Parts: sequence; C-alpha cells; structure tokens
Amino acid sequence: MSNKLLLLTTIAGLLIPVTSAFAHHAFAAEYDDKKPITLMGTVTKVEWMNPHVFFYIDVKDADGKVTNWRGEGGNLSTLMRRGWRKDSLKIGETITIEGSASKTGQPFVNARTVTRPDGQKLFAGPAGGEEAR
Amino acid sequence: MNRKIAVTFTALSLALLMAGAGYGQGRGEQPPSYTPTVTPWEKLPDWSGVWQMVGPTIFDTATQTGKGGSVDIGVREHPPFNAQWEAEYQKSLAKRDAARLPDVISNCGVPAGWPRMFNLPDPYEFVIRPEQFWILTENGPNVMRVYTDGRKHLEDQWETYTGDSVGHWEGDTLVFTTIAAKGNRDGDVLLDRTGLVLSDKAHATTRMRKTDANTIEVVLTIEDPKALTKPWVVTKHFRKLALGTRIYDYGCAENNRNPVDEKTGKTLVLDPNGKPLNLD
Repeated sequence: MSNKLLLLTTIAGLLIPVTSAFAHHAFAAEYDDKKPITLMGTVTKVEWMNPHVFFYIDVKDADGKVTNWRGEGGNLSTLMRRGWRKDSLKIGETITIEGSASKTGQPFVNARTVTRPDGQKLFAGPAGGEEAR
Repeated sequence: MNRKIAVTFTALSLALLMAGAGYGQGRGEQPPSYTPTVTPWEKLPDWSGVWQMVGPTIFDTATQTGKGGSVDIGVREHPPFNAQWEAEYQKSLAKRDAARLPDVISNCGVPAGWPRMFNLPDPYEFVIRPEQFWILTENGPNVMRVYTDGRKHLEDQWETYTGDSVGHWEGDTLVFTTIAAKGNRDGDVLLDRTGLVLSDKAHATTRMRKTDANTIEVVLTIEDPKALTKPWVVTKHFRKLALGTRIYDYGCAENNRNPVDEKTGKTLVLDPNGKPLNLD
C-alpha cells in the first residue's frame, strides 16, 4: 500500500466513528431510560455545539482503570434558558452526571443533571425522549 | 459615458426589468382573484410573548392511558383509525417498543410538518398580523403560515409538509382550515414518536383562542378519508413563558452527518450501531 493510500485509509477510518458519534438520534434509539447511571469524573472536553452539547469526563473505576465517558445534553438554546453557558463546565473540574446509559454498552450517557464541585446542579435535559429535541 | 457601455447598461437594465416582471407574472404567479379583507390591528387579540406546549410530546394525550408515550412502552387507546391504518399503527408501536421506529425529524433536515407543528418541544411564538398568522417554533426551526386576508385555498396546491391554511377571526378566536399536507406519504411526517401518522388526504379545522392570560388552547378537528373512520378532535394547550424569555437560534441540522442512501436518496436515520432504521 502506498503511503498516500495508507494516509487516505487512515483518514477514512478516523471519519467513520465521528460520523456515527455525531449523527442525531432519538433518545430511545441510543439510550435506555431503564439504565440509570451516576458517574463522577474529571471534565476533559466540552463541545458546545449543535444539535446537542457533548462533554467528556474521565471516570476511574475500582481497579483504577480510567475510561473517557461521553455525556450528551440538550440543545444549546434550552440549556441557555436553564442557566448554562458555554463555559459553565471547566476542564479539569470534577462533576457528577446522572442520566441514562447507552443501549450498546459504549461509555455514553444521556445526562439529566450535572452537579458541579460546589453542589450547583445544572439541568442538562434529555437529548430526546419525552421532551425530544 | 462611452456609447458601447451605455448600450450594454441599458440592455442589462431592460433584461433585469423583464426578468423581474416575468418572475411575478410569467411563471404562473397570478394576480389575486379576491378582494383582500383584513382584520384591523385594533380588533386583533394580543398573543405576544413566548409559549411552550403543555405536557410531553404526545400528540393526543386523550388517546393514551397509563404512563408512557414516546419513550416508555405505554398503553394507548387509539385514534379512530380504520382497520388498515390501525394495523400500520400497531407495526409502528411495535417498532417504537423496540426503539426501531425511525423519526426523520431527528435528522433536522426536513420540517416537522403538519399537524406535528402543534406537538414540538421548545418555545413557540404566535404572530398575529392583519393579513396572516404565523406559527414560529424554535425546534426545527419551523414556520407555518395561515392566510387571514380572505383568500381561498389554492385549487391546485400540491401536498407539502405544512399544507395550505386559510382562516378568519371570530372575535378573539382564530378559525382556519388546513389542506394539502403530505402526511406520511413519504414516510417522513409522524405526529409523535409513537408512530402516529395521517395520510395525504388529511385535513382539519383548527380553532385557537386564549382561554386566560397565560394559556392558548388549540382544538383541531381532523378528518382523513384514507385513515380515519370519524373526525378526530385533539386539544393542545400552550402556556406563556416568563416575560423576557428569549427564543434562540437552533441550528439543529448543524453537525448532523446522517448519510444519504445512494439508491433511494433518503437521508438515513441511524441506530446507535450506525445501521439505518428507515430502509425497511
């Protein structure tokens, strides 16, 4: 395989998961409201983007293994009305997410609430479902 | 001015003028065949502000019993579907229960359509003008127009997402009829996430009024000779949000990368594993 082909194949490979991750799904297609989950972790990235906000946290399990979880919130306009701003979550701060876990077992959570270190609760809102967006 | 430039300028100006005239009259646009009758501003009610639909995004809560709806598996009585459409609805409910029901508006690429316009999350604005009434939704975003200037429905209207609506004011109540909505003919207009659908022959009379300072009531009487055995009356309520509430730009389609199926041209709705839900 030529270097150019290898490069193109690598880029294509990188694009596939991005496509899958950002496609806009109904809540019910991606998350299971019968799988409530609470996670505490350190914020590594915030994507203040349409159609929904995404934020990522490193969560350490009992064995010390760290997994980067993706939290999904509601649309930006709803978050704005609820008091969120694009810099509400700070990189490196520890937050707690309560929400519904992914149906597929991937480290994805649909966040209902996010609790900051000072106890402030941010209501992320479901990214679909009963109040579908 | 150089003569050659002057001639060219004149020719271009004439061409533009002719093109403008042609756009208005030569391509099928007809001058109005009615005498506009508008309700003066002072006789129109005040529906200003920002509004939110009351309750979850269940199109008709009166047809539902028990907990559930668009996400949970719920018990539901049914709209007055005939046997054929009831059978189709049962298939949709089964898909909903398995989280396999494609809901195309989750792609954000097509309008929510009528009558789902009355069943959206996020705020609404109801804009009253003497000659038109507009429903603006943040979600989508979507726009629906109701002409209130005395015009009739277009006789040759093709079926569209929001159809064709004309109406009038009866005191403080807006009464309008909607026809020529495409319904679920192309598989992309649901009424809610249980898979409720109507046909491209559905039409309705809608009555909207303010029942108190903070509530707007919408009563739709829907008829559908293809799908329903009798008129289906659905009531929706909208509550006024706090003074100063803003409606924001919602670029729902931004960052959506749902692929298009090469064979059908359909935008695919994907499940979490990236497999299409709407190629059945």
